[in-house]
Amino acid sequence: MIDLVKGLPLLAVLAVGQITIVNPLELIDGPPDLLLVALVALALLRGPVVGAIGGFWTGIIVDVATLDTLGLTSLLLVLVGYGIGRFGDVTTVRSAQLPRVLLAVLIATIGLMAGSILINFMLGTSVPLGPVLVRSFLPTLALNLVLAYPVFLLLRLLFRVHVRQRPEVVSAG
Amino acid sequence: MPRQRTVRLPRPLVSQHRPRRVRGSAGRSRAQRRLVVAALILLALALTTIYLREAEDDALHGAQQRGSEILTPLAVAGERMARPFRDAYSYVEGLADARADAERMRRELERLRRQVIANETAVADAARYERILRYETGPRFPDDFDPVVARVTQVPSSPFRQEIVVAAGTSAGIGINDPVVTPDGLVGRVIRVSATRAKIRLLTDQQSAVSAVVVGSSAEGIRSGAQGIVQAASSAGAGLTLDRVGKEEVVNSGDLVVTSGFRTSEFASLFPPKIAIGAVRSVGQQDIDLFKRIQVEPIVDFESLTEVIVLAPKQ
Repeated sequence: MIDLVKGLPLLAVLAVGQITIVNPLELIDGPPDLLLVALVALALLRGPVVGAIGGFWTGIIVDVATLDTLGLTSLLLVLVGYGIGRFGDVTTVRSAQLPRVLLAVLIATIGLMAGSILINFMLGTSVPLGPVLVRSFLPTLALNLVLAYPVFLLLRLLFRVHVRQRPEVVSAG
Repeated sequence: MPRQRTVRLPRPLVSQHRPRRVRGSAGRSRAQRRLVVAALILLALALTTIYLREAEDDALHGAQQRGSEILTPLAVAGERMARPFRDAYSYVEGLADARADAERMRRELERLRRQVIANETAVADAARYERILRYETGPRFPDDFDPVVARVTQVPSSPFRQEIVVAAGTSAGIGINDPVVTPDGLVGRVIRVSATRAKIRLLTDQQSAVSAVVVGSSAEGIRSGAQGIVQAASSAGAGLTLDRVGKEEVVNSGDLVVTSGFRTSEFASLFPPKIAIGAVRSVGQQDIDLFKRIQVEPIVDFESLTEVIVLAPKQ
């Protein structure tokens, strides 16, 4: 519960910041998805339930702020948050943090892009795949990977997470 | 409640030891977790469905608009806070872009400049080749010779040695003493030749000598008669002189000097007749001299020879 009290306002602020500050930045053609990276870090640190609720909340904020179809982003981010939370459950958390975080961000970014394309396809919205992939997705993926570990470390400090606090993992011993 | 313990072993990225046994509370927790996620997914799907099916002024759209209005001040504040940084970034990016643009345009300018030079050279080459072609096929081209057009590869290295080298030799049919001309007039003769190169002694060399005849106009029409020998002037760069012209001959400034192409039973000129050599610049004579002193301005610009035509005798 404490996690949600801390995490949801943080995600809301990040969502607004992503839309108003980060998205207009034309770094190497595609902006970084700071919001997704933060959601991934939260899901890794706090598990699938917090990840899923955080994803739902973040999606609502984004859809409200951008006046997009309400619920679509939530649907995608719920799946991303839950999936990354489960990924965090089945991976070790004390060693090899960097590849674990990078892999999670890679999976989440690709998954979110694939999900967005799929949903747009299902809704009948044409998506120019080539330009989207080359001009936007690859730069975003690269920047997300660059941001992944610093954001993870920041959130770990914020939530004061220790490995042994994770209730879901019952280790042999 | 027993303390949870972890084994201190090197661990791979993906855990190889699954939870050994799920306890009752953990099982319940997992079920609750799945329930929460399923509920969230259903809620998202429901929101989407209702949103897509309802009218613009219905509940969800209204709620979204109200939410958007609530978020607007936050967005404005965020945008204001970020604007200086974004402007700074845009400025730096603009500078970098401007520098890259300048560099790109400099390269483009250089490329275009080279292109212009190449085009102008091509135009000049085309005009020259056209003149050569017209000369070769025109009435002035001497019979009994085949033209061999050759590019000049070496120009005279000093005023005292007026020789050039061309990129054609015996393989193209060139031989020793072959006359060399341009569409303007006489250039000289071949003095040395290899398979692919030939050395040509220019008319302006001190060792050159050509039998010539003066062609002038008078009230009676074209007159031709005064014969002599054209040689390089004794001082370098002073043009040509026409020697051995008797004092009784009539020679005027501006008269044309051409090769005589004389032919006797014993001797014959190396050069075919009627090839232009130059124009009479000045005529003088003194009582003590046996011949007139005639200065001739060469008709060929020896300073800018790029191609010449070697006259190879027909076999």
